[in-house]
Order: sequence, then C-alpha cells, then structure tokens
Amino acid sequence: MHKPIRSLIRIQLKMQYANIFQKPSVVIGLVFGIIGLLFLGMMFGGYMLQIIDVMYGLLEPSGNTNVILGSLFLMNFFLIFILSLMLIMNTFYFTEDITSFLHLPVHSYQLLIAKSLNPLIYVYLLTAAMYLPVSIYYGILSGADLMYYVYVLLLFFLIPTIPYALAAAVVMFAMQFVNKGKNKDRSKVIGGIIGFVLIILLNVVLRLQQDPEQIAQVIADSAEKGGLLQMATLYYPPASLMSHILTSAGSWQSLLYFVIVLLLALFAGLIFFAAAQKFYLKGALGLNTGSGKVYSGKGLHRKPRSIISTYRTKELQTIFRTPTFFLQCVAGAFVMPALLVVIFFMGDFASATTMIKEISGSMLFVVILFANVFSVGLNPISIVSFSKDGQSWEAHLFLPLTMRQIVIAKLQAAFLINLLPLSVLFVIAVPVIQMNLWEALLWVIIALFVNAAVTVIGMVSDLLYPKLGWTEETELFQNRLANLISIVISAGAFAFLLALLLILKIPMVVSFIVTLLYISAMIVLLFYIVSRLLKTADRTSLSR
Amino acid sequence: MIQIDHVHKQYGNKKAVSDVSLTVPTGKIFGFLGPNGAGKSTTIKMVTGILPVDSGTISVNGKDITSDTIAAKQEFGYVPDSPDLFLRLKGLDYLHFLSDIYGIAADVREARIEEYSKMFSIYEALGDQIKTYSHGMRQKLFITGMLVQQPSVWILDEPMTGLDPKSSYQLKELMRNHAANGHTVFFSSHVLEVVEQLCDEVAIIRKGELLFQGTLTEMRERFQSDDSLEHIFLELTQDA
Ligand SMILES: Nc1ncnc2c1ncn2[C@@H]1O[C@H](COP(=O)(O)OP(=O)(O)OP(=O)(O)O)[C@@H](O)[C@H]1O
Ligand SMILES: [Mg+2]
Repeated sequence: MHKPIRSLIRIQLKMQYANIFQKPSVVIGLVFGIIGLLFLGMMFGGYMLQIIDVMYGLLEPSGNTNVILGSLFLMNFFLIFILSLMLIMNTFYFTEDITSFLHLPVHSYQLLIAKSLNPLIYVYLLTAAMYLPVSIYYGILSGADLMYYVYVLLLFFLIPTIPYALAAAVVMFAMQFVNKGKNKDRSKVIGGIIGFVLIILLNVVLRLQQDPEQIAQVIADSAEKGGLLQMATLYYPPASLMSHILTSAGSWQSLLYFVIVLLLALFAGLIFFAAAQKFYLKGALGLNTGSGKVYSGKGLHRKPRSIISTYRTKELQTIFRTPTFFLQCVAGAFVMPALLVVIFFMGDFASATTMIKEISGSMLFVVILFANVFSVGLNPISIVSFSKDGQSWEAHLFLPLTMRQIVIAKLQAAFLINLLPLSVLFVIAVPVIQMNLWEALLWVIIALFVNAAVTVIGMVSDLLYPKLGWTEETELFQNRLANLISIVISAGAFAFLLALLLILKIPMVVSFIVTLLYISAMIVLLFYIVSRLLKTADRTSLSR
Repeated sequence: MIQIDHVHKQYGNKKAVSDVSLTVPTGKIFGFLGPNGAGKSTTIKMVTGILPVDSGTISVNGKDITSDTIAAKQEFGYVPDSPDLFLRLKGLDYLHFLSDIYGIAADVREARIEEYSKMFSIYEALGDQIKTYSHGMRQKLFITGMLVQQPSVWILDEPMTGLDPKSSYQLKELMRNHAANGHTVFFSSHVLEVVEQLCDEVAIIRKGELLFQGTLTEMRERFQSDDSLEHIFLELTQDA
C-alpha cells in the first residue's frame, strides 16, 4: 500500500529538485536570500513578539493570557486553510503533469498524498514561521515547564493537517462541478473567483458579528477565566482545545485533550481520504481539455491595434487563460491585501481606526507606503514577465519586435494586473482609515509610484534568474530564486526609504516629495539595469 | 531573396554549421536537404534571427538580419518545426496578434483568416486554445498565420511532416503559386518525393557543411547519374 506512495514521491523529488543545487549561482543566491530573509524575519518577528509582550501584560491580571494562544491557533488555521486552497487547486488539478500520473494503477489517495509533498512543505514552513516563535515566547513569559515544549512540538506536526485536509476536501468537492461545466476554462476562472469572494465574505461576516462594544463588554465581563478564549475560538473549536493542552501541560486533562486533537486530525485525514476516493477523479479527468465548441465566426473582424497594445493584450489573455497564472496573480491579488488587514489589525476595524487616527503626519505616510509596498510586492506577476513565455519566447526572436516594445508591453501588463491588489487594499482602507480627499489622493499617487517600482524590480529579478525551460506553469512560482531576489530588493529599497522617513520625522508634504523623487530615481536606475541585462543575456535562453 | 554568406555556428565545442554560403533566388522553390542533425534547423534559425550567427552575414531581400533586424524580419514569414507556441491563446487571438504585428488592415485580415483557415479546415477550432489543437492543427494554424501575413519570403522548417495528404497538397500548391508570382520559398525537408516534385533548386547539407547547391538537373549531371534522387541523396549524405 505504501510502496506506490513512496515511488511517486521519489519521482517527483527527482523531477523538481534534482538539478537545482548544481548551479553555483543558485547556491550563492540562495545563501544571500536566506540571510536576507533571516534579517527580515528577525525584524518582523521582533515586532510580533513585542506585541505579544504587551498583550501578555494586559491580559495577565484577568488570567486571560491563553487568549494569545487561542488566537494564534485560530489565525494559523485560517492562513493555512487559505494557502492550502490555492496550493491544492494548483497541484491537484491545474498542473499538466498530473495527466501523466492519471493512467497509473494507483489509488487517488495515494497519488494525492504523494502530490501533497510540495504544498505541505509550504504549509509547514508557514506554520514554523508563525506558530513556533510565538508559542515558545509565550512559554518563556509564562515560565512553562518541559512538558509545555514537548506539546508545542507535538502540536506543530498536528496543526497544519486539519486545515490542509479540510481545504483539500473542499477543493475536491467543488472541482467536480467545475469539470462538469461546458466551458471549462471559464468555469475554472469563475470557480476561483467564487472561492476567493467566499473567503473574503466569510471574513467580513465574522467581523460584522463582533460589534466592538460587545467585545468591550465581553472583556469587561470576563472575570470568568477563559471567557475571552471561548469567544476567540468559537469559530474553530480545536483552537481552544490546543491552547488548553499548552496552558495545562503536564496534567491528565491535557493528555486527554491531546488525544482528542489527535483523533480530530485523524478524522480530517479520513475526510481527505474519502474526498480523494470519491470526488478526485470526477474533477480531474478531462479537466484540461478544450470546449469542443464549433467556432461561430465571432470576432473575426477586429480593428488593428498598435504593436504594444496587441502585445499587452496577448500578455493579459495569457495570464487570464492560464489557471495557474490566474490563481497566483489575479485571484491571489484579492487575498493578500485582505490578509494584510487581518494580520495587522486582527480584523478589528474599530480599534484599527482609532489606532490610525492617533498616528498622524509622517507616520501615517509611512503606514500608507508600507501597506502598498507589501500588497503589491507579494504579487508574483512581474517576476514571471519573461519566464512565463516559456517555449514561445523563441517567437519573439523571429517576429519583428524590438526589445523596447516587448519590455514596455510586459511592464504595462504587469502594472495593470498589480493595480488589482492596490485597489482592493484601497477599498478596504477607505473605511478603516476614514481618509479625507487629500489623503486619498496622496494614497493613490503613492500606490501608482510604488506599483511602477515594484513591477520593474520584478522584471529585473526575472531577468537575473530567468526560467524559460519549464514544463508546467507552477514551476515558475516554486523554488525560484527570482522570487526571493525580488522580495529582497523591494524590501531593501523600501526599508531604506521607510527608515529614512521614520528617523527624519519630516512633515508629510516633504516626505511625499522625498518619496516620489526616491522612487523615480529608483525606476530610472532599474530601467538601466533591465536594458543592460537584456544586452548581455543569451537571446534564446535569456540566461547569462 | 535570401543571401547567406560564409556563416558559421557552433554550440559549445560542437560545430553545427561551418562556412555555409547560399543564395535563395526569387521566383523559385528552394529545398534545403540533409539527414537528421545536419544543421538545417540551425541555419534556418539563424536566417530568421532566432540564433545569432558566430560569423558571416545573412540578408533577406537585401536587409541584413544582424544590423537591420526589424526590417529584415518584416520581409519573411516563418513556420517553425515544432509549432508549440502561444499555447494559451485561442487560434483566432493568435492570428489577430500576428496581423497587428505585421500591420494587416482589418478587412484584409478578416478575409484572409476566413479563406485560409477554411482551406486548412481549422476554421471551426479558431475559438479554442492552441493548447487543445493536435500537432497537425497547430502546424496548419502557423501556416495560416503566414498566409494572413503574406510576406514575400516564406521560410518553412519541415512543413509537410504531420500534415494530412489534403493539407500537404494544398500547401504545395500555395508554394508553387507564391514562387510563380516572383516570390521566395525556402523550406527544409528530408522527404525526397516532396523535394523531387516541388523544388526548382536544392541545397544539400551534411554535418554542417554544404555539399551542393543547384537545380535538380544540375545535380543529376554533376553526379552523372540517372539514378533516383534517393540514390544520389543516400550517396551524398553517406559518412565518407
Ligand atoms: N540548442 C542546441 N544545443 C546544442 N546543440 C544543438 C542545439 N540545437 C541543435 N544542436 C546540434 O546541432 C546539430 C544540427 O542540428 P539541427 O537541429 O540544425 O539539425 P537538422 O538538420 O534540423 O536535423 P533534423 O532533420 O533532425 O531536424 C545537431 O548535431 C544538434 O545536435
Ligand atoms: Mg530540424
């Protein structure tokens, strides 16, 4: 029974990771990237731990400190659930190589467990980054004993399994309907959009139920120990169980709870198994086939377009019609800003508003800048500017197109797509910050400048580590140095600006002008780098 | 007209094309022959600007592919040997994209798209993504693209492989017409019957070196043989 799983995993490891460490440039880049990420992680982690410190101090008198753990488990659940939805849709359905496994005599669940390798790596990385530091720090603050840390470690392995299995079941259930649709590409796209709208709606509904006054009331009333925790974990009961395990580690009760959580995880695994056996093939077989409709003659007459505009159209069409690109770059655009808001304000609009109101002048400016950089910086669209052409890149060499035209059209397309996360962020921000007209205008201008800069940074990273020889699109988003490079360059460039603004504490208008000048200079420099990179690159593979 | 002068190309240490000089005249169908791995595709990729030349010059209708790239590329249409390009576009989107790049007016392109896609019976699939096309259909789409563009120089890399007899016949007719109208047709092949039926002139390449250029009759004279072309070809391309 386990043999097929093992050999399936092995072949995948070979296909995806075999040659990656052989190039010296990859190793060097990786080392720098990891150092950069560690640095960022320490900065961000330090910030998180500070918040925990403050929260712990606030909650300790009422004996409610376990609410920190409760909300940690809750947030972890949501983040992993959402991340898993995206990863699973990609790896189980939209990758082309899935078709090369479908004819093998293996059970769906065996294939899917093997296919889960990659998504699970990401899921566990996220868990390690979020859960471990906070829970360990909490242990230090509360002076926990050894058993606490044993449970922290045991839970680490259990935590992601439940949201992952549930997300997989949801996707597998939904995909069988997508596959039934006549126009499969369209239903894939619509399915993706509906999924993400649902997630956001769910979030909003949950928030709306929590009237701020009511929350204040609950906090005031929660003389009763654990009252707040119940509130926080109402939507995900295991969160409450898990935090009980940790807070009373060492007791028999906690062992009992642990067994219950273990059973819950097993149950989630069973759901995964059942969904795989029952729904998977119905959704996967024939998913990547055409519509079979006879062409009706629609659109035969079309006004001629300029080269740049027709090229931009081609780019956008490719992005919208390729499920992987669509999920990563378009649908993903809705998730990231929403997550940003959730992470930073824990979804509590009221306190966010008061918090923002207290910040003023240059500080507000910094917040605006940071939020925009973060939301657009996470969209991978420009990092695949060139790489997404794959084999078709060759066509750019025999068509009468200049590099200038190609670069401009690609940047325009990426810029347009990047407007999505920025607009979503803007729409969310308007009620939260309650901006006046002047601030809104400021926001829009900054967003456009940041967008331009980040888009070019993405293109530079893609040119530094291009990947044209892919066999399926997901390879472009996994294990790529370009991703890391782009994040490091963006973070570096903007961190410098942010630090400058924070230290100088100059009036808003001056900050604004400094920022625009800084970004413009950056864009000019980046354009120069792009043109250099293109000149020195090998034309057919874009590598050096 | 295509002019190739003393062109060299090396992949790493491996010589793929060495000192090839060729003139592809107008008004003729020119066949480029050679066994697998002889350097046909490599030569064609240099002519179309996909690969840079190591040394030597190439011009299309008098425009140098290295120094006057865009102008040279305006002169020809190219059908690649593996037509796996733009897979996510719909057939029609690809044809419009190409027409926009070559600046074909709206009603002209409409008429041509309809005529040629119907001729090659891919009209019904124009609303589908190229990804869902069969190998032959993809090839016919790229041929249709070239016909919509109507460049004066046609460059085709093994255009007949993968085509059904009807489409193959139609393509040959179109090639004959194009040459008869005083234009250039340059194609590679190792299918000898096609070459025998179709070509006015041939060039033979082996291991990157040009063995012969001239008309079919010249070739027979030169090798003093009444043998079939197959025989000559086998002899010429044998490992000496
Ligand atoms: N990208 C490449 N990298 C390294 N060597 C290559 C590359 N492309 C072709 N070659 C080598 O160059 C030589 C000529 O190849 P080419 O593709 O031009 O042959 P061909 O005449 O088109 O053959 P066929 O009839 O099989 O299409 C071959 O020996 C091949 O191994
Ligand atoms: Mg070839």
